[in-house]
Order: sequence, then structure tokens, then C-alpha cells
Amino acid sequence: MSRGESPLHVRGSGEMEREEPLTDAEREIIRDTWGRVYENCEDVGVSVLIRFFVNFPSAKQYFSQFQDMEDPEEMERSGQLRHHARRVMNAINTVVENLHDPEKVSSVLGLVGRAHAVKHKVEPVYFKILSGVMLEVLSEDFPECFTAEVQTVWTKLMGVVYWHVTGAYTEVGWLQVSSSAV
Amino acid sequence: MLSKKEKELIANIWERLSPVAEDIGAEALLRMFTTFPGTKTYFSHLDISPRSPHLLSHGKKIVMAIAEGAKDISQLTVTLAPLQTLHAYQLRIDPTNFKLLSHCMLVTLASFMGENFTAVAHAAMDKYLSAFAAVLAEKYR
Repeated sequence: MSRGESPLHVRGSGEMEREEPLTDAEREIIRDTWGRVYENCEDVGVSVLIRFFVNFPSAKQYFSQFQDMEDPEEMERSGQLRHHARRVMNAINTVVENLHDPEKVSSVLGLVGRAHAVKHKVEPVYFKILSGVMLEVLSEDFPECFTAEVQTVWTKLMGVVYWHVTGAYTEVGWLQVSSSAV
Repeated sequence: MLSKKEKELIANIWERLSPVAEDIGAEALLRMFTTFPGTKTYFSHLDISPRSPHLLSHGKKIVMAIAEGAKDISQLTVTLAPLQTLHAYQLRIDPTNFKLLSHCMLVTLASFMGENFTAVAHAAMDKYLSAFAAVLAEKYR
């Protein structure tokens, strides 16, 4: 099943559907809300990652420094965690700043995907889970701006991010056990 | 990944084991809780001591779902749709735990089936349970 470059629906057994591209209004919403979030980007990033690692502890396996940490306060002090939080927020920032440039978005996320697949060997499902955690934490920390409508738009953006990242995984030949296995 | 013969074998095995679903499920869970105590965290609201009603009923639920899926493996995504939603949106179980349960399930099956748990059956079952777990995790976000 080829992924194709088309932004239209690509469905296949086990493949994520590629949603339609973001509308202008949606991009505006994203830039707007992200602006607020990015003001506290380090704290938000750390918050998101801590929630992620507490709720899904298996994700810690890829991080030598805090693999065995369970206490959120201890995790908050971890340099490795804070560094990763910055990188995650910066990547999203780059995507948000370049929403008008699909090629740039694709190339940035391709790099992220390849690095995680090849160098760090991270199971792609963690990207999905992290997206979900991020949306939860953002709606908790920014309740005034994360309305239901805004949440929907961000969910769509996370879907696009995931699609690009897993594209890179497929490109490097990552063997995914999925429903296509049946 | 699963050949036609393997799918038939899996379907057969689960059909024959359905009557003892409760026992198999409860044992697999018990093994998992014993060997991987972290997994108990998802069951803090239940009494999961050996042979407790909760353990038996929960074990039965899980095995019945696995057996149901085995009836038509190519339709797994369709059959499991409601469970996908449950696990992804409500239960939010760290998907790594699916592997742990699958492993304990294999051990339980080996102990139940004895000689009938041949190398071929083992391999096929392992593939099936991996696919099952992968499908369950598909809706996570």
C-alpha cells in the first residue's frame, strides 16, 4: 500500500487515514493558541513529558538517566528529561511556524521520525500516546483557550504530525506488527 | 504474517478452549500479576486474589475476546473496534503491558494444552497474540 504524497484520504488496513490538509482558519487557531503555550514552553514541555512518563512508564525505557525514576519531582529535575522536553517543544514550534509550507513540515518531521526509528529505536505508538497526553495537559493548563473547537483542530494537527513521523518509519523499513499482519 | 493454516489452527484451539475460558484467563492474569507486579496497578479497584470472582470474570472476559477474534482473524480490526476504543480512550493501559499478558497467556496455554501445544501452535499463537495486541493499541492517541 503506497502512502503517496496526496493529502487526500489514504486508508488501508492498519494505516492511519491521512486527513485533509488544515484550513486557513485552523492554522490561525493553532498559531494563536500555540503563541500562548510557547510563552511557557519549558514548563509546559516538562509537564507534558512527566505526565507521559508517569502514565506510560514503559516510555522511560529509552532514557538512561531517568529510566528507573518514579517520583515526578525527581523527574522534573532530570537534565535529560528537560532537554528532551525542549526538543519536543521546539519541533512542534517549527511545525507551527511552517504550517504554510508542507514540504518544510514534512522534512522536519521526517528527520524526527528517522532519528527515533533508526538511532533510538522507539516504537512509533509512543508518538500517538504522547500526542494524546499533550492535548490533555494543554487543555488542563490553558482551559480558556483550549475550547472543544480548538481541541479538535489540535487533534487534527497531531494526526498530521503522526502521519509524517510514521512515514519516516516506513521509509527506513521499520517492521510494524499491525492489523495488516492478519 | 499468519498463514491460512495458522489461522485455522488458532481458530480451532480457541474453539476447543472456550469452555475453560474462565480458568485460562484467570491463570494468565494471576501469572502476570505475580511475575510483573507493576501490572496490578490497573486493577486496584478489583479483588484479584487467586480464584476471586473478579479475577475469574475478568479472565473470562479477556479470553472470550481473544477467542472471538480468533474466529475470523482477517476481520480483527472490525471485531475489536469497541475494545480498541475502550483501551485507548478509557483504560489507557500502557501498551507494553499487552506483551506481558500475551507472554503469560502463552505459558498458561502451554500448561493447559501439554503435548498439543506444539512448536507450530506456539509460533502461530504468538503471532496471533502479537497482532491482537497491536490492533488493540491502534486507536491510542
